[in-house]
Amino acid sequence: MELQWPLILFTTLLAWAAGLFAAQCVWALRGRGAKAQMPALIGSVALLAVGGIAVVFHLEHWERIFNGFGHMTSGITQELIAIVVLFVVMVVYFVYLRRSGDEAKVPTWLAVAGIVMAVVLVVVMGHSYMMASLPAWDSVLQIGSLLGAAAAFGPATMAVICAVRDEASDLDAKANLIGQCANVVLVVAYLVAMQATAGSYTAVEFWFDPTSPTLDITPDGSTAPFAGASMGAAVTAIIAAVAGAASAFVGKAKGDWKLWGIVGAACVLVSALALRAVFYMTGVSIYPFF
Amino acid sequence: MAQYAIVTDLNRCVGCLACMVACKAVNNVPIGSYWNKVLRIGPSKKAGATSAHDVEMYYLPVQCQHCENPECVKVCPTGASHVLEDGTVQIDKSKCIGCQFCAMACPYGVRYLNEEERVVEKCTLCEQITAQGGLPQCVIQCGGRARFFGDLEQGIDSFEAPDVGYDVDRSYDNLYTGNRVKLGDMAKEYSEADVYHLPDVGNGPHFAYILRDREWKGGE
Ligand code: SF4
Ligand code: SF4
Ligand code: SF4
Repeated sequence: MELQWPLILFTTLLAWAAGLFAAQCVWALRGRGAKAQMPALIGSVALLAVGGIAVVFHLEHWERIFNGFGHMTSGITQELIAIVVLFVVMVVYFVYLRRSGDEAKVPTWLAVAGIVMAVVLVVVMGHSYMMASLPAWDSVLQIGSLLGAAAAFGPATMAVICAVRDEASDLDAKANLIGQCANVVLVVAYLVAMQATAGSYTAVEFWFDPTSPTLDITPDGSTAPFAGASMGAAVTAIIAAVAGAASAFVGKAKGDWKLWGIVGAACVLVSALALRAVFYMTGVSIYPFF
Repeated sequence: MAQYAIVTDLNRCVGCLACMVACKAVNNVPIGSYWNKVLRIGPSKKAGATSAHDVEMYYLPVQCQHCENPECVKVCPTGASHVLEDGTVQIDKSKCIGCQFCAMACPYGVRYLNEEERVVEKCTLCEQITAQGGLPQCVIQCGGRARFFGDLEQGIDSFEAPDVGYDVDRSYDNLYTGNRVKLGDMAKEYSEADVYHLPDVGNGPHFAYILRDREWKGGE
C-alpha cells in the first residue's frame, strides 16, 4: 500500500498527545511538576488538534461526515468517540488545574481517569487498523507499538517541560528509562510479528493479470519488513528507538533533561514515523492478485 | 430476503475478457479501475507431471464477492457501505467520505477510489439491471456462457444465464429479461467438491466457482 502520510501523522501525533497527557497525570499522582501541568495540558491538546487536522487531509469528503457518521462497528467511529471522551477528561482536568492555582492539584480519580482514557484512545486507534485482510496489520503487537510510542513520547516531553519550568524530579529519569525501553521492546516485537506473517498470503506459482501484462510476479518482499523497500525504514525504526533509550540513560547521567528530553522525543518521533511507514509498505492483502 | 450472487463455471471460461470489458462499458468504470477482472491462474504442473509441458491452468474472473459478513461494511464509519435486502453490498455515494478503510479491509482489493468523484466504488452486481428483472452485464455478455446469476437461497442449479442456440430469440431486449437457461440444465455434472470460493478470512465470500478435474489454486 502507498504511504498514507495524513494517517501516519495522525496516529503518531495522537500517540504523542495521549502519552503526554498520561505522563502529566502520572506526575500529578506523584505530586511532581506542578508548574509543568498547565503547559503540558496545552501541549497535548495542541498535539491532538494538529493530529485531527492531519486526518482531515486523508478524507476525500470530510464535509459528508454529517450525512450519517456513527456506524458503531467502525474503528473510525470508535476512535472519534474515544477522542471526544479524552478531550472531555482534558477539559475537566483544565478546570481543576485552574481552580487549584499554583498548587496545580488534581484529584486522584481524575489523574487515573486521564491515564485510563489515554490508554483506551491508543488501543482503540490501533484496533481500528486490525483488519483480517491485511496480515501485517492484524496483530495486537501493532497496538503495542503505538502504546510504546506513547509511553516514550510522554515522559520525554514532560521532562523537557519540567526542566524548562525548573521542576526537575526523580520521575524524569525513572519514567524516561521505563518508557523508552518499553518502546524499544514494542517496536522490535511488532516488526518481528510483521515478519512472521509470511505464510498468511494466498500464493499461486504462476498467474497473469491481463490489465498489467508486463507485471513482474516474482515476490518483491513487500510482505516482510526486513526485505525489499521497507528494510531501510524498519532498520531506522529500531535504531531511532534504541537511540531514544540511550538518550534516557544519558539524560539520567547528566541530569540535563532540557537537551536529552528533546533528543529522546525526536528519536521516538523518527522511530514512530518510520515504523508507520513500514506498516503501510507491508500492508499487503491476503489476496494480492487483483 | 435473497442472496444474489454469480457462479462462474471455470471449465467453460475461455478467458475472452468480455465480462471485464462489458462491465467497464456499462458501468462507466474509470480508466485504471476494474470492478471485474479476469486473472489467469497457472500454468501449473499437473499432479504427477512427467515433463515441464504437462501443465494446466484456468481463468478466474474476480470482483466483489458480495460477502456474508462484509469487512467493508463493518469498517465503514458512515454506513455508506451497506448490505441490501437482496444480499448485495452497495455504496451510497452521498454518504461516502472517501476514508478508504473499506478498500483496505476488503480481502480481495476490489474497491477503487474514483478520483473524480472522490468516493469509493466497486461491482454493484448491476443492481440497475437486476432490479428490472435482468441479468448483470458480465453474465449477459459472457463469451463462454460460463457465468450465471441467481439467488443462493434457491441453490446454484437455479442460477440463470441467457440461453444459447440457433432457435432462441436473441434480440437485444430479450438479453435482459427473457431467454434464460439454468445452470442446472446447462452445466456439465459437478459435485459439491468442485465448488470453490475465494479465500475466506471471516468475510464469507458468496460468489462461487465451479472447477472440475483441475486443481484449484490458492486455498479454500
Ligand atoms: S468482496 Fe470486498 S468489497 Fe465485496 S462485500 Fe466482500 S469485503 Fe466488501
Ligand atoms: S470510503 Fe466511503 S464507503 Fe468506504 S469506508 Fe469510507 S465512507 Fe465507507
Ligand atoms: S466473459 Fe465469460 S468466458 Fe469470457 S472471461 Fe468472462 S467469464 Fe470467462
